[in-house]
Amino acid sequence: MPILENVNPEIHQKASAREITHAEEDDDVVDEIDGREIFDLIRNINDPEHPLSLEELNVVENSRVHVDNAQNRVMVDFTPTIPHCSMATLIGLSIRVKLLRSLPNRFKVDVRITPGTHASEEAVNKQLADKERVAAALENSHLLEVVNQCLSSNKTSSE
Amino acid sequence: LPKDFLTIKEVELLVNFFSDRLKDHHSVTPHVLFGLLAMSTFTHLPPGSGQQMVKEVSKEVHVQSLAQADRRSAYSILINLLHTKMEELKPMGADFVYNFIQTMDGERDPRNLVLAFNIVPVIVQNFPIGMFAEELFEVTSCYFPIDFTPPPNDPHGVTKDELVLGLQRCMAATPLFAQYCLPLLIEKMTSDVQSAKKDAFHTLAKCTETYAAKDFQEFLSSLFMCMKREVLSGVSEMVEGAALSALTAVVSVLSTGVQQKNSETLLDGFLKDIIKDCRHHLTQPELKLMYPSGKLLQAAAAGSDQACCIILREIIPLLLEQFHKHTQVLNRRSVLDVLLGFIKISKRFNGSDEKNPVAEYKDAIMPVLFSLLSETNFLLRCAGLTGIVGMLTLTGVTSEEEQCLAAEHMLKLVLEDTDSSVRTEATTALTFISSELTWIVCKIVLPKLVEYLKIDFMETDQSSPHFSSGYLLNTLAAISVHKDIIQETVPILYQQLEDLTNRPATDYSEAELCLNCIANIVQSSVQEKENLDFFYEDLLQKLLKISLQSFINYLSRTEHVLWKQDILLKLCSVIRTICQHLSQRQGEEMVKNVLAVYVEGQSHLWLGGAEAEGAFKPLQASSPWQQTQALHVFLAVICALHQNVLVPSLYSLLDMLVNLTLQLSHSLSQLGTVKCLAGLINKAPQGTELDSYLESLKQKLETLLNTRVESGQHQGAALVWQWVTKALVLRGHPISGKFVEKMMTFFENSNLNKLAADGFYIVMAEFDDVMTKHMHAIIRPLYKQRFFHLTLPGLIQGFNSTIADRKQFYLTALSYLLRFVPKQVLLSELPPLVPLLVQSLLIEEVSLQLSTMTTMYDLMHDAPLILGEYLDTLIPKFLKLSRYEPSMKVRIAALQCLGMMTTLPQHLTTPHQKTVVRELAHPLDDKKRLVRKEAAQARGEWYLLETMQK
Repeated sequence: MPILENVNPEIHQKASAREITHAEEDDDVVDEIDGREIFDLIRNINDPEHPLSLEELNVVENSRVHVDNAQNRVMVDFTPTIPHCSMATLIGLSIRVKLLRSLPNRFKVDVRITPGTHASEEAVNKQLADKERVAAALENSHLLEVVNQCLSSNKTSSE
Repeated sequence: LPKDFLTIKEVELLVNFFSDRLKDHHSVTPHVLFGLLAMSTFTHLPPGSGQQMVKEVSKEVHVQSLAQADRRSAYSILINLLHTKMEELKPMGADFVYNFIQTMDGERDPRNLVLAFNIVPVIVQNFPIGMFAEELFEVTSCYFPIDFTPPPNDPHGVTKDELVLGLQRCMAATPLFAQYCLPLLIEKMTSDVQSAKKDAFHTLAKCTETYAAKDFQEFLSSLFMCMKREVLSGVSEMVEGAALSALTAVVSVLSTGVQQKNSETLLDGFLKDIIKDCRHHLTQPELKLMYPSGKLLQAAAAGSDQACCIILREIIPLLLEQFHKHTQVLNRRSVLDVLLGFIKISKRFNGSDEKNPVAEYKDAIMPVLFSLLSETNFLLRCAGLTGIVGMLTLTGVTSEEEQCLAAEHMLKLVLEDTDSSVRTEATTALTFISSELTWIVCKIVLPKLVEYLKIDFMETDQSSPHFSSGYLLNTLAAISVHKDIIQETVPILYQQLEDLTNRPATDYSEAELCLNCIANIVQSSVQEKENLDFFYEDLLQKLLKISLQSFINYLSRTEHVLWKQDILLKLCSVIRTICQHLSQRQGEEMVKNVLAVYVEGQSHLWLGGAEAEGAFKPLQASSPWQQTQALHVFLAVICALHQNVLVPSLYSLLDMLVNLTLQLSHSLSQLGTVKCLAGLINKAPQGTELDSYLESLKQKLETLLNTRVESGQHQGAALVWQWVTKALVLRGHPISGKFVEKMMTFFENSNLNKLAADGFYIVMAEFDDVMTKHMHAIIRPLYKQRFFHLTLPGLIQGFNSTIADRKQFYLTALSYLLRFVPKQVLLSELPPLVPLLVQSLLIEEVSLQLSTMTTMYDLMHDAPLILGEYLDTLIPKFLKLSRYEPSMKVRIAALQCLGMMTTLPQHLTTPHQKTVVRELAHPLDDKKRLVRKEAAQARGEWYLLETMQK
């Protein structure tokens, strides 16, 4: 077993499932995509190191997800558990890929590190914002496999 | 042959003969063994021949060079002889052990191993294994951990569990194995294979049953290291659980030795080590390892009373200190959770001479818990509640004053808390107290609730929503778990209902709530005789009276609460639940009464002197609908009673019901009437009277169905036909075949084809208000299978030969069959049905599409290979339906099916991956959130196909 960088991380309360409203069950009402919906997409992504979700580690938070439907923009800030976390890029990439697969392609998605929470914040942000580098990373079959690991749902626990 | 067929002499001769033949050429050995095996089962076995057989076999035969079946004979001989001739074999002593070791050494076949594993414990118990202990352990333990997957369709039925448990029994057979077994287990606990770890922990737990404390001595610290590693890493819940129960078992065995010398220090020392290891984590409640450390300590404490005392004395003060030191909500909550775990563990404490260790700290714990109840954070309030309940469950720890105080606090939270989860939790807590400490609830809680209820009725404009009378009523219902409380609460609830019916304009929801509360109480408490008698004498009579009043006084009112369908049916369900449980005597009384009132119109029997505006004639079609729908009440009484309660002049009543069904146009009344008819037919006593009645009913209905009258009569007749068919199919009456046959012809009858499929629903579905098991209906086992096999060929043939317009009627009927037929039956008939299912998806009929997709969803799980063949057709259809504008339910179901498809074999799905992923981009932008959610899920799973491939 590889040695963990952060053996004993803090664990946070999970948000309860979103309640379904009457409007959502009405065939004729249009539901806008909102921050919570996007948060629901990414909160169950697995952490690469721990058998915990990004939500439980407070890496992603509902309040750090922003949507602008008119401008077709989505902004997600994430917070690595420790400032030197070497997994930051991988976590960012996982979030990016998950949103790439789950959101309509009209959206432009920005995934960034919450300002001031990581040592090499700028470098990571730059990598994540660079479309070509992201595409190239996904060509790498080993890397893709690791990302898919993070995105695979452990069905029994998540439902 | 009978086992005592041969005499002693004859057996002796044969045994000698067979024993001699063992010396012959090795090719006859198998047959000889077979012969000896037969010998070993005879009762007249001469003295000495048992020993002789064992000796000769071990001397002349090398068992492991034989074929599987012959080795099996050898083991079986041993088993038989050990069973019958133990006294004779015992003197063989160590020789026998040595022989056996040689016999089983190298065995590979799981079937034989099961036998061998059964022999080992017997040998260990009856023979001196001393000098061969290590060898005997070696030949068995080399199979540990068992890694065996039975081949599919294994005819021998050897399961992995059987082997695992057998081996466990061997390894744990004697303390002599301890010095070999424990190191082996420790080695397996450190391996990387999860199942090996789990087996090792299970075996360890098993070993504690026979091994003594001193056997564990030198291995304790390594064992604990292994357990700690599993629990703290929390990789696999299964292994973790096994490790924790092993820890409990070890502590418990260490404690049994305490009376003997030296062992005291052993337990103390072990626990001290554990505490030292864990306490540091308990002081860091914000971190992950807090909970697992707590679990370890709790598992150890559960081992014995001594351990419980030692650990709790150490840990409770520590946790209390931590609680006061930390101020953050989450940290405090973690500390509390762990503390609660310890309180729960102490419940197992049953020390006769010592007090529960928690009692010592009660004065420190209770104030903390009570203070939590006024915290601003709801999580803490909940934790406080759970804590108090935990403390109350400990016998002899809390005082009466504290119990009363707790009840008052809970009631306050129930009534006043702003957070709904706290209120729910508090209600649960009250429910708990009601069953355990009934007197407190009667004394404190009930009067308070009643008082609030009264206030509320006067000021109906109460503003706070959780303080409505509905909420109070629910609370009343929730605490009604004990007969003393029920006898107080049910009359209150009934009074509330009666008040509502007397008001001219009423809020229906409140009456419904009231009835729901009554229904819940009745449902959960009617099994007890005392409650049943109370309900029968009090509630049932009142309900029948109040409903009769509402039916009879229809002139002066324009509306009435009990006229409303939902409320009437709810009322009926309460009546039904009570009637189902009545004794024969009570039932007969009920029948007499209900017939007098409903059939003969003697309404004064129930109403007494109360006002009645007119006659009560529910069985006449000319009566107003308010009266005819009273048939539901009639149904609830007369069809719920036990089979041995006979209905006088049954057949004239049946005739009335048939005619009423045919004439009624009010559909609710009609349904009640026809259900009543079917329910009675289902339970009618078998015999010629029933047969001839059915024959005449059949003719009467057939005439109606065949003549060209206006469709009203047609529909009524079809309805009667379908329900009577259900009643007959259920009880497996011989004439049911004819009824089913006729039902099949409805599809091609232009007046009836729209109704044809309904019959299939009626027969297959279960209705909770008629002909259920609880209502004592006659239900033949497997009737659904029978009906399925009986009708399926006809449906398929009809579908194939009919004109296009009628195909959908067959498909709908088919979908009803599939929805209710047990899965195993469906799977065997599936292949020819799949094309029909595909057809069903094409018909623009939302309910048919939905039910077909539900079936397919399940089938992808149960019959992946069969559905896999149709992927080329199915995928485009589902993709199309995932954009079906009119109904989001259809879109969602289609997306769920697509998601489920990823579980089908990879080589079938991978070719479609690109298309599906591309097409699923559209529903990602669906206007409905629920659809988008499913789309994202399904698309994600299709993306992941490639990883699972590896």
